Amino acid sequence: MQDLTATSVSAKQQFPAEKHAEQQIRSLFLHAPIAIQILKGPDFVYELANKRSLEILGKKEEDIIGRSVLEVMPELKEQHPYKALQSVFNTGQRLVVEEEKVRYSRNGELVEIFVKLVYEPLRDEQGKVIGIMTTGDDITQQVLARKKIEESEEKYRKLSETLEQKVHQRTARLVELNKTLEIKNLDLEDTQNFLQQLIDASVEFILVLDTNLRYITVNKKYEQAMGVTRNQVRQKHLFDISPGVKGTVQHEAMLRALKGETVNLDKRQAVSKPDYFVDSYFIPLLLKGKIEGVMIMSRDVTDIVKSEKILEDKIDELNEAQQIAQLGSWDWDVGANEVQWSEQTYRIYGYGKDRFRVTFESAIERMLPEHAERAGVRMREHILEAQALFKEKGLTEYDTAPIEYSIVLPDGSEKILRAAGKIILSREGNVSRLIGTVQDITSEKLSEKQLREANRKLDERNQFVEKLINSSLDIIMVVDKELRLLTINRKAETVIGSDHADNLVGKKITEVYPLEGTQQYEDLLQAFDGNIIIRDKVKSPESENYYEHNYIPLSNVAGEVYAVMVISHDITDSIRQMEELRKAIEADKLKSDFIKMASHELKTPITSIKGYVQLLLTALKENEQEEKKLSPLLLRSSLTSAEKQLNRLTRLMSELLDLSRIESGQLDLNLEEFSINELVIDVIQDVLHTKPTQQINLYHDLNCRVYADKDRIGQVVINVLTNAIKYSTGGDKIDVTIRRHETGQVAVSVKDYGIGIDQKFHEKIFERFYRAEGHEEQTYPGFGIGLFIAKEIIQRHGGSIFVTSEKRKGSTFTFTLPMAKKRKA
Amino acid sequence: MTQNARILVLDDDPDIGTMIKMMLEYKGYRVSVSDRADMAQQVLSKGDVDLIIMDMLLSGVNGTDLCVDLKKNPATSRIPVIMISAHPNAKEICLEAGADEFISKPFDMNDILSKIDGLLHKTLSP
Repeated sequence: MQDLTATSVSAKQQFPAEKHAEQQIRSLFLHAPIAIQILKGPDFVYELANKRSLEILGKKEEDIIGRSVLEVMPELKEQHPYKALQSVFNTGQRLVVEEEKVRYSRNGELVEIFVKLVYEPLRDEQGKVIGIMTTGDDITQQVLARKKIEESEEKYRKLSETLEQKVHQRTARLVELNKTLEIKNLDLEDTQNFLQQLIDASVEFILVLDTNLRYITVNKKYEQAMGVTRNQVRQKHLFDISPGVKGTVQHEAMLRALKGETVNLDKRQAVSKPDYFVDSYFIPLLLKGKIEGVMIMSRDVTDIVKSEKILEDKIDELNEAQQIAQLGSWDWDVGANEVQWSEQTYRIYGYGKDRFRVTFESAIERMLPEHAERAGVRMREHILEAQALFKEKGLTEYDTAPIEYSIVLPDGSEKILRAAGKIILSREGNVSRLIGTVQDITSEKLSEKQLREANRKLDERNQFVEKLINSSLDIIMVVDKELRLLTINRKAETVIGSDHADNLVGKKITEVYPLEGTQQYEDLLQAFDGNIIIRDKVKSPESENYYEHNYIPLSNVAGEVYAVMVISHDITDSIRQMEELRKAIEADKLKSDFIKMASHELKTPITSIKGYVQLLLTALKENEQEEKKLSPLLLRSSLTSAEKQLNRLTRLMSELLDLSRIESGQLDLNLEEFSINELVIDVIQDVLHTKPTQQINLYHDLNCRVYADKDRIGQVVINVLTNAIKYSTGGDKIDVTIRRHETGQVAVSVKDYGIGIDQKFHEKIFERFYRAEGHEEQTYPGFGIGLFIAKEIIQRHGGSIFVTSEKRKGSTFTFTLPMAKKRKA
Repeated sequence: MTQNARILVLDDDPDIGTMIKMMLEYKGYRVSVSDRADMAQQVLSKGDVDLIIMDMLLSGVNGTDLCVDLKKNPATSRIPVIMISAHPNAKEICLEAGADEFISKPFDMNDILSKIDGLLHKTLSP
């Protein structure tokens, strides 16, 4: 108790559990069944006095706190306790007085009590004595009882001797009367009266029984407690008054005492008064060496037992608190090498109800060897440090840093514990005690380990995913709800380009791509609503590439979309391939259609020529056989028609040849310098021979010279001019213009006032195998490759050919050629 | 007998039409030539045609469609039709459309004359 209190007085708050313990201790201290006082300074001023001490002193707290001992009790000055205080204060030596007699005034009455007192010097941090704590209790009753017993034993002994003589003297008569007991009783009356007075003075409960456990006498205290008078009980059997005694340990003790043994039973529940606890002595009554009865003296210790019970309850509470906190405590008395474990500590070490003596060695044995070694080293280090601090500053307490170690439980399993403690040094600087706490941190460590393991796996997985993402040829980006880039793969970095490449992660995607208002932006927002969106054939605004964009919402465990992964697959190549394939198929079909058409076109003049030739042959034959005259008209018109068809055939054949040359890249040019004006005039004159219905007007800048293939350019002029005639049957004129431009180009235009060409065909008419479709156009036979050949010829010369036209208003075909460089100034 | 028969020639290429006309007129037939199907209807409506020679392809309306119409119409259904074409596989199409004869381009003069003679002989015989 002294140690605990000392700790409590100077304890620093360290662990919550210790704080809790301190509160427990303070509570115990105040309610302790022993008296505790703290006296400060050389005048011994009351700083603290607990309940029990106030009770003994008969004072109230406010009467003494802050006052010196002599102020409170001047009568103490010449008495030993005061001298003892002075001595302890001066020497610093702890003093234990087993039986101190004190006289003092209590509630106006001078009393003398006996106390057991321990004087414990209190020191400041430098070790200087600053006060004294006294602990102890009023033992007056025990002392008095003992003294009384001693006295009564003496008197009894003397009386016994006298009695013996008397008994001896009267034996004869007693024998005679043969009423031994009655006589004895009568003879004993005086003695009994004396004894009665003696025992009545005792504060103990006393009853005297004969060998048959019949009452001889009881004292006043007993009468009061049991509510009987001694006359009522005399000669009655004990069991008549206290039937409950039968068969109890008290009964047994009586029987033992009747055999000559003095029996002591401490803190027993009083048989007849279960609320009371008593210390009892069972003393054999010896008369002339013969046991004649038993004297039972009982002292009321109910308060002490109750106090102890409270203390036990408090300790239970403390244990319970430790259990709840999973915090065990230990207390190592170094001198005795005994370690006290709390309930929870036993539990932590894997023991159930078993309790045993624990030493430092046996505690450390349970650790894994390497941990035991480390713990030993650490402990020595801590002790040296504690002692160094003691020498340096006089500190008697040292808090050790927490240490973690594994132990092996009795069942072979392992646990990880964390322990921390406090080293308490004696005044001499020797380690007297170590107290501390121990905590099971196995699951904590295990979850730490599992967490680390999980993190490691997650890292590996992340690295794998990262590699996967980075090795992808698709653009992969992950965008959070604020549209910030969370992840971006290498491909995306390259595509976004070096302007933005540094630290793309964390940037808003809209800073990198101008997305707002685009379909992509809409799709991205849509994906945040949890929809997977796949958008095919999206042209990049920044390049000629086409992408398939996939927007995939990423959800957390709660099913909430926290990000969207955008995967963009470059489909430019596949689109191009598809397009090429489509064109190839189309070209193939066009070619096959062309061949069908060409064979049909070729068959028409052949049919016609064949028909005329057969007609002439028939006519010639009939002329010879039947002397029928061959008509010159028939002959002329047939031959003229045949020639026309042959020309048509020749033109078709030449077109086919040109087409073949263009396709095989063998369209050779014979370049020479000539006047385009002269060429155009020649062509117009040739065309006029066919007697077109339209008037042909020429408007030209003079002498435009070009360096070109004259025949080929002539072919182009014929083509556009005959087309103009062919497609403007309703028109009355065709305007041909030759214009020299400052760019060094000469432009030849042929304007008709015919059916015109729809805007959508303006480019198509220059394509190979294209022939305008429709009722009106179909009336004109031909391969429809004239403009294609014309375009090829003009482009080979570095010029261009195009049409401007309006439906039903006519068309203007224009081709340009580079002017020849002037040789002469 | 058949020499005075009236023959209508329909061909979208006027050169072919002219050639056939010369050929048939030399043989004594009376011949009308047109390159348009709608014009043909006008000629037919006068009821002065004994035989029709027509190309499968005509401007304005398809030759086969015209043939089908003619053969449906009781007024013209008895007029023999000879269809000509430069297209391969055209024969089946034309015969299916109701043509009495088919001749592919380029054709033989004697072939066409004998087919005309055969058809007129069959039609005009009692």
